[in-house]
Amino acid sequence: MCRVWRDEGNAVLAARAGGAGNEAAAGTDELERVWFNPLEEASVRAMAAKAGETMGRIDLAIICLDNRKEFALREGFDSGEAMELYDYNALGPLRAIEALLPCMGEGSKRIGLLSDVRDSLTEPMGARHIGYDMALAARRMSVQIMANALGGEGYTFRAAVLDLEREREEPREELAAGACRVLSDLADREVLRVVRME
Amino acid sequence: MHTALVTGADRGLGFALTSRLLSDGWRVIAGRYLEDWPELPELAERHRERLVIVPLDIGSDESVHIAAKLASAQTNSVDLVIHNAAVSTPLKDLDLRGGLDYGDMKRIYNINALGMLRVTEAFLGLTDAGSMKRQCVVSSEAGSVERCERRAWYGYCMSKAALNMGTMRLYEQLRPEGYTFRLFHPGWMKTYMSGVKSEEGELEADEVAEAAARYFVEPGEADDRLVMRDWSGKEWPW
Repeated sequence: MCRVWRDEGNAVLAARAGGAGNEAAAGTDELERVWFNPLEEASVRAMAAKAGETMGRIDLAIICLDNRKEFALREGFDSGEAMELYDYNALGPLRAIEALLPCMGEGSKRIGLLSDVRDSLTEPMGARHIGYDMALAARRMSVQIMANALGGEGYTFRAAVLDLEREREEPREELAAGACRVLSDLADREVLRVVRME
Repeated sequence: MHTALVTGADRGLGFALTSRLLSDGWRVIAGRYLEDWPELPELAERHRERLVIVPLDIGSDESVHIAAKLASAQTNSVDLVIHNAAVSTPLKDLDLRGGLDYGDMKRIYNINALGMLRVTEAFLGLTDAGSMKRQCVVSSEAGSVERCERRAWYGYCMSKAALNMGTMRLYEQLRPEGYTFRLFHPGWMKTYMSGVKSEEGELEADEVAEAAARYFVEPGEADDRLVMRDWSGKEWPW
C-alpha cells in the first residue's frame, strides 16, 4: 500500500513496527521510514514526532499492526501471550492514533486500519486463535468508540478486512490496491465503514 | 445434587446468584475475592453442607489453579460455571484527547476478558465430569459493538467485546463436546464494580439474579445458538 500511494504522487512515511532489535531493518523501496515499538508509549510518541517533522500534516493514517499466535484451551492456553496479543493488536493502534492526532487536525482526518477476517463474531472461525481473535474484537470496539468520539470533529474511519494470513503467504497486489481505494477515498464522508476485501 | 462454581461471589450479582442457587438446592463453590467482606461467611453459616468458599482472584493464574485444586478436593464434578467476576475503573472517562491509561486498560482486560478463559481452563477437569457442562458468562451491553454509542470507556468496552469473542470461540470448541453456553447482560445494576455500591443503577442484584438463574439453569434455544440476552430476555447484537 505504501508503494501504491507513493506511486500516485503522495508523500508516504512508512512506520515500521517491531520490538527492540528491529530498529535498523532497512527498506529496499526508497520509502521514507521510521521505526517504532507499538508497545511503548515513548517510542510511539517519538514516531509521531518524526512524522510531524517529516510530513508537516498527515491526511491519512493507516494502522496495519498485526501479530498473531495460535493457542487454544486444552492445548496450553497462556494468559501472558494472550495479554501480549491485546497489547500489540488492540492497544498498539490506540497508542499510535492518540500520538498522531495532533498532526492530523489540519489534514483530511482519515484514519484507516487493516484487520483480519477473524474479527467476525458471526462467522465460525475455530478456537485456535482465541487470544488473537479477542484482541481483534477489542480493537473493533475501540474503532467504534473513536468514530463516536471524533466523528463530530470531521474524522472518518475505514477498516479494510482481509484474510491477512493468506495475504502473508501469497500477497496479492490487486487486493492491496483495493484496500488503498477503500482506505483513501477521502470524498466518502461516512464516519465509519468496515469493508470486507475479497 | 448439582454443583455450581460462581466467581466474584462476595457481593452484588455473584452473591445473589449464590444465594439463589443454594435456595434451589444446589451445592455452590463460591469464588471469594474480598477477604474481609462478611456476607459469604454469613451465608456459609446457614448452608454448611452445600457452600464451599474458595479464595479466587480470576486475574491471577496461580490463584485460579489453587482454587481449582481446592474445589477438586471437595467435589468430583462441576455442572455449571457462572463467570461473574469483573471490574470497572474510575478512569473510564479518559479519552484520546486527555490521554488513555494503558496500564489500567490492561488490568481491566486481564480480569474481564482473560479471567473467564483462566477459570474455564483450570476447571475443565471438573466440568468435563459434570452432567450439565454449562458455561454462563456475565457480559454487558458495553461489549456490543453494534449498539455502542459511547465516546470513552475504552478499556471496559474493549474488555467486554473481547469477552464476547472469547465466549464465541469457546462455544465453537466446546459445544461439540456437549458444553452449552449462556451469555448475559445484567442490565444497569446497582453494582459494587467501582469498589462501593452504586445507587445509580435501575436494578437490584436480587431481581437480576432471579432472571439470570432461570436463564442459566434451564434448557433453551441458547443451547444451540450463542446469543447475548439481558435480564428481560431481550437479545443483544454483537
